[in-house]
Amino acid sequence: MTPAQELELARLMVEAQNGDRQSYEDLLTRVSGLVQAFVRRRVGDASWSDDVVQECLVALHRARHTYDSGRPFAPWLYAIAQNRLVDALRIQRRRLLREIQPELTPEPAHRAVQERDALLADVRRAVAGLPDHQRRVIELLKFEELSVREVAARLGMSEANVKVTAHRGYRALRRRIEEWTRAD
Amino acid sequence: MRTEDLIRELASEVQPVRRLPPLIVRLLGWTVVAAVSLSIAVILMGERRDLGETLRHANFEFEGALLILTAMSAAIGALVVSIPGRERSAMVRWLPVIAGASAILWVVGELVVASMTGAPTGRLTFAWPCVTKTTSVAIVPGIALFLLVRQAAPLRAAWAGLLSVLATASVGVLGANVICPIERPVHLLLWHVAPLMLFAALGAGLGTWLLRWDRDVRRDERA
Repeated sequence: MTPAQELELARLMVEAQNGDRQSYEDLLTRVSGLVQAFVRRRVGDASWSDDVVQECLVALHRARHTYDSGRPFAPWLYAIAQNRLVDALRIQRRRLLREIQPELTPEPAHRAVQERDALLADVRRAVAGLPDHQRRVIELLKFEELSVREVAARLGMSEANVKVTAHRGYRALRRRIEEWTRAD
Repeated sequence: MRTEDLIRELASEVQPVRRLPPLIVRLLGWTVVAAVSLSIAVILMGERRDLGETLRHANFEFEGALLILTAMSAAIGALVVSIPGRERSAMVRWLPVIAGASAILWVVGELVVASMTGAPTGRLTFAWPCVTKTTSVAIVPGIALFLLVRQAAPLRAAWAGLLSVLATASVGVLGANVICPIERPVHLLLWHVAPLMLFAALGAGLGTWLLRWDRDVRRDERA
């Protein structure tokens, strides 16, 4: 960020603090580009980098009363961006650990592998029995590991609709698998 | 949600905001609250009878100075870490911890000197009333500092909590020193200064619980 850019952002921020909507929109637009570059420099093109940018904008919105116009804008902005990025990395790390944990756990016996394969087959059978739109959404989310946004784009649905459909699908799956377990 | 839509949504919500008062004003405000609370507590609980004489002891004065240093630097630290980008050096966070540890070490030194010279060191007894006094003195400045920190945006919630509680517990220990007449180093160590670090650790937990400013920032939760 050049000194001129920083002065301009500080001016926009002061106007935003005074309730100027246009300045605020302008500020957020410019800041989103800066934060995006900041995040990309650190984590590359991670699929969740847009989420960090958006969280950062929401955080900036909530902290805007703490900006002191007598101080430089960049340290204030990047402290928030850094905080959101660290938080996102922590969540990603936890998610990753959760995913790889079962693979790291030593298999005590061949039976455990068989049980897992049988369960997986049951899940696939249950998914295949779902209504078409729920099945497509769950297959893309869970088997092809696409994000909600990507699934929405692929199927021409809104993100909210994808979430609702997936939620209903999971509920149906749970019911079906519980019925099978009881029958066994 | 696309970033452009989020920007439009946030911009549509924008209202004039009340800016945070300067740090020095907030610090002065808290200092007044702490001083008044300390005075009221001492008046209500009664100062030790030998206070006039004790105030002339170098040990008492030095320990008091360390506690005041801990309280003020911790309060500054708590207020600084609650404003994004304001912290220029990690010393803002570590100086209060070092000052608090020095207060404890000072009393440890008194204990060592007393045992080496054969002076009375005191016995291991339970003295919960002193911890109660410390807590009673610290409670109002503690609430005030937590509120001041919450008003801002503490990105480091655990540190903000730790420093807030360290500041107020130091005021509490200062009060306990003025109220409690027992001067034996074992008592001072176990029931006055050592709990400072326990309080500070508790404060870190409280901070994570009560000062997590970014809890509802996460996009998923917002949606």
